[in-house]
Amino acid sequence: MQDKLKSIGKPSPKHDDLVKVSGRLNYAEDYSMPGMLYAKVLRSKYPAAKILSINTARAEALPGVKAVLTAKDVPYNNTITKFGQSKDVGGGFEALYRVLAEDKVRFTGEAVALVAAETLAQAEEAVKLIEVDYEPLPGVYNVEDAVQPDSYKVGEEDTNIIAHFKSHKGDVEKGFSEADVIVENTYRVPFVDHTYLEPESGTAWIDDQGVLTIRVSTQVIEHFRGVAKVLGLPENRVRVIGTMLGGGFGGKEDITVESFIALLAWKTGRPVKLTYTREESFLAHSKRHRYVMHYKIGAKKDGIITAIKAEILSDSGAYPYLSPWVLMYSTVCAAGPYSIDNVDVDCKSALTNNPFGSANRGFGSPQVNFACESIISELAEKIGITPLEIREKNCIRQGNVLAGGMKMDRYVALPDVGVQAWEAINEQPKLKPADESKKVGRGMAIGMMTYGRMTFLHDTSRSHIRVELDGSVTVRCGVPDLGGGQAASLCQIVAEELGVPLSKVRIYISDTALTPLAGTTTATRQLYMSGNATLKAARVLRERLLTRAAAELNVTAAELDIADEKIFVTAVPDRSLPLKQVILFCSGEGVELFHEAQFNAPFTDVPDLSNVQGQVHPDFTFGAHAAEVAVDTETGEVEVLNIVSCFDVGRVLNPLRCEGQMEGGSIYCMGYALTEEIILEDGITLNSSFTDYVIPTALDAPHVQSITLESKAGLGPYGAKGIGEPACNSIAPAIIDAIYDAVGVRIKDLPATPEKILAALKA
Amino acid sequence: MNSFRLINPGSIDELYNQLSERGSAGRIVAGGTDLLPAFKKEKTAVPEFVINLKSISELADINEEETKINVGALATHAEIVESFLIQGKAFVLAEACDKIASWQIRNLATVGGNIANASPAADSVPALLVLDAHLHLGSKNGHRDIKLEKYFTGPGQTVLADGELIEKVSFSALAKDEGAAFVKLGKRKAVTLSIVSAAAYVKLSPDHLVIEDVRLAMGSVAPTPLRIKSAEALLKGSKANQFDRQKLHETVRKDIKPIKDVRSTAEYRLEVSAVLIERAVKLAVERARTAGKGGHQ
Ligand SMILES: Cc1cc2nc3c(=O)[nH]c(=O)nc-3n(C[C@H](O)[C@H](O)[C@H](O)COP(=O)(O)OP(=O)(O)OC[C@H]3O[C@@H](n4cnc5c(N)ncnc54)[C@H](O)[C@@H]3O)c2cc1C
Repeated sequence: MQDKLKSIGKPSPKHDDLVKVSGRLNYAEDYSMPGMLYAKVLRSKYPAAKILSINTARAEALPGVKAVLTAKDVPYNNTITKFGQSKDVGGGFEALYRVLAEDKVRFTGEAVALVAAETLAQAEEAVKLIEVDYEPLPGVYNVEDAVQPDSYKVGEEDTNIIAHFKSHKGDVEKGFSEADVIVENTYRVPFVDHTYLEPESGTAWIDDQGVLTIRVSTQVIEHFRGVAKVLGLPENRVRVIGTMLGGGFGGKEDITVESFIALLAWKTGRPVKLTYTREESFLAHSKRHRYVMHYKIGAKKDGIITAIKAEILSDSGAYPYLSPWVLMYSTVCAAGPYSIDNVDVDCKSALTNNPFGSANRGFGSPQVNFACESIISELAEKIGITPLEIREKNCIRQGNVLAGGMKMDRYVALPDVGVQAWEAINEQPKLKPADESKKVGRGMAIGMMTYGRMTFLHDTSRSHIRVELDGSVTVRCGVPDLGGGQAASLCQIVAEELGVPLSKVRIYISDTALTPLAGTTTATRQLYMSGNATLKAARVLRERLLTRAAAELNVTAAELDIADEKIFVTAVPDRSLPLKQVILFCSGEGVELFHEAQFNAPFTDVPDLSNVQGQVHPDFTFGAHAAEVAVDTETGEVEVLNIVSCFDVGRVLNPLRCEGQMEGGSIYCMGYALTEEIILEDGITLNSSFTDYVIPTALDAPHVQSITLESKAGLGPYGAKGIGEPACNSIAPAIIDAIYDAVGVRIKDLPATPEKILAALKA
Repeated sequence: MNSFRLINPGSIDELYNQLSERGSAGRIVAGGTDLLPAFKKEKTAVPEFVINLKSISELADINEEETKINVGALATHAEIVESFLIQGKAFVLAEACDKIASWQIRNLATVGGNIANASPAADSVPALLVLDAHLHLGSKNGHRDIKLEKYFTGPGQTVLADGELIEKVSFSALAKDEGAAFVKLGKRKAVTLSIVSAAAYVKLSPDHLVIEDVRLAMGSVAPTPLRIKSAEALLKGSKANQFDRQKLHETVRKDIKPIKDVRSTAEYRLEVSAVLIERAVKLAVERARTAGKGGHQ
């Protein structure tokens, strides 16, 4: 069956592509309700301050204002963050979720009060009339200060440290004593934003059954449970309908507007809409964590690495959100995809009065990948071997054990991905720029990133398929579609298994009341999880149809196959029945033409946090990036000329989407390497706009060559792995390595701005 | 954002009447690409009346009077970039306007708005400064001409009086042995404000060996775009292909007063300013040499 797939592997456009490019798709902000009010959020102007009093009287008196809420109006203002996991994982991983600031504010932009009014202008005006009496507090803005015992305390606890994970293997001191070459460096990466096109938006209303209904742009419809908790409602009285997202990248994994509009709708009894402005979005949602990473690595003269030590400090910002989870990924990935005998990894995350960190494409992997790959390239150079050679000598292979103790018993595409990326970038001779001040260089990096959630969360997904009497198929699956084609891939699986054209499969997604819960669209998990749930459901239906046809054709079901809307005898394809005919037989005889299936990922216990060992993730995707850059030696400007992205994706379901992820991922973290950073001055964001927060434009994006390898060794449908997050993992160190190759300076502090490069060149 | 009343005057006379009548309650809008973001960000108070220039089409004319080129204040950056007249006889202006923002913005934004907004980073201004441009200002009470160089008094500050507007900007077409160039350093290739920008104009001796005349200007290195006069003095009379690089760099540094902002530190601006001026001069010299031979001037 694997060899004659009809739908899988074909470059078919998504069912929603045309509506998107023609501007007809409705995003969250496009929906309105009759009698709708507009909401606005009052946000803290201080990063750290005591709230002495809040006076809402003038705001309430403003014509058109229907509600003004502060923390005291929220039934359950302090709850625990949950992200749709099936199992309570408790302290350390599940942390405070506070709807509105109380007693003290912890970051600039923290929500302090909510307003709902008849018009947006009235809501904006009312927010300005709320008088908050603050007493500014000193705050702490540098995570290296925040971990000190006598530091300012951001929250209510007597330490700012919210997570501390360690992982070790062998004896690093012995390993370093055996090394001929040792390199030691500190690497820094900044807070960065997701920069999705669509800012946070949603509308809430109470339906005619009294159900609080929220239509919202979210990666996690399971937050309906969190909203129910905030309001003290039964979970079946809150419904979340997810819209198609104009981008998520992890930034819509936490609750965004849901609780705010739910509270206001509940209070006023009217529909309420809230859409953030771009500036507000920058201030209000999470960031990829700032990291300070101290690395030490040693190797023998022949390039074999003897020990690696990593001390990692993550700036969690003002609230924990997903910081401990992100830190766990960093812990597992800190020593990279290498087989090293002596490893010592120590990771901490601490609160500061900066914007809060949470999920961002890569989830703790790109940070440590940048540090680890940078130091490996520097080590190679000190030893006198190429960046590729050192990776070939040390990378893990099938059967090896990762630093964190997980045995890689599935196929590992290392060093192949690295070899192919490096060969592809070196296929053409290096360009010689006409401009004498410009120098060209090439670099590479490899990486591993997980797909699927951490196994101690006991991840599950469900999908429901119904075969219609005319041979079309309806799928229901609570999967939020971020634009990556999460829904379309499920349709392809159904089309494949039931032998119908893609155009005959319709999918309904993202509704907690009407679609089976599929879990979050995060952690590069939907193809793996919901793909498998859908595959499971489709195969049950397929079996029923084949069984019924077998009786008709006088063969066993095992002798049959379905394709092109026909069920036929595999050996004698002419002996066939129209699929529709078989469906009608089933329908007439009471055979169930629908099925809902659940897929469970592997389940493990919470690991020992003082020495994380064994399985924490279901599996990994291995990949590599190579980059070619031109550096202007007089201004420090970098132009990325070419990128090669090479991944073992297991199986390509749709080349268009797969390459889309690989190209997008490359450009996403090209910005991380070169231009992007949240510029903070004592907790104040100085660049909360697209004027000053600099992402690459179409003109800055070079050609990206995507090379996909198909080992079919993944845990997803047809052997697929995940590609969404891994796609951005190793591009930053590849670019930094290319800059070094061009001009001989290694930037250890992202982003590699022209200014830093020029200063390094002059030093 | 507060609402305002948009006034669309039907003629230039009505426009001046409106301007004088509305006084400080009125504000001109052209492309709106500076003004509307400023309203939204509450950097500029929303006035009661916004007077729309876009209906006065005569203010968008780009034309030539003998050796003088006039660019109407309402000419958009896209129109300037595409104008054969500008491309042929004042390419430096097209070059600068082409580096502003994105296609979408260039289709809306006007050169008058770029000048009037008086940002130190206004990209058309260094180009116009090296062209030695004049502004023609008009109001109900008449017209006056002013050198562009004298127009700016600080960031967002100009000598424009109440009720007055920029009607057009004029400069001489470049002639034989003359060339000019604009270079910009931003954080990316498009939709980026200048970290530093530089423009140069040179007039070479007939044998193309000596710089007979030179004008230099920069953006984003002082409270206003400005001429770099000591560097001009240094280059004037020097050899076209062999000027003293070291001295030029030192001189440029003395003429500018860059600040630190979210785009750059002051030190980096100092570092790269001279590099940009040098590149602009070299390009201008090259163009002056090929002037009249089909190359850009
Ligand atoms: C995304 C973006 C990117 C940008 N990038 C750049 C860039 O790279 N380089 C750059 O230089 N600028 C840039 N800008 C700024 C802006 O586009 C330019 O300054 C533009 O030329 C302004 O022209 P406008 O017609 O839109 O002016 P408006 O916004 O209409 O007006 C600006 C100001 O000038 C006044 N005004 C307008 N016309 C006249 C007149 N004829 N007489 C007197 N006063 C007048 C208005 O009252 C207002 O105060 C950018 C703007 C945006 C939004």
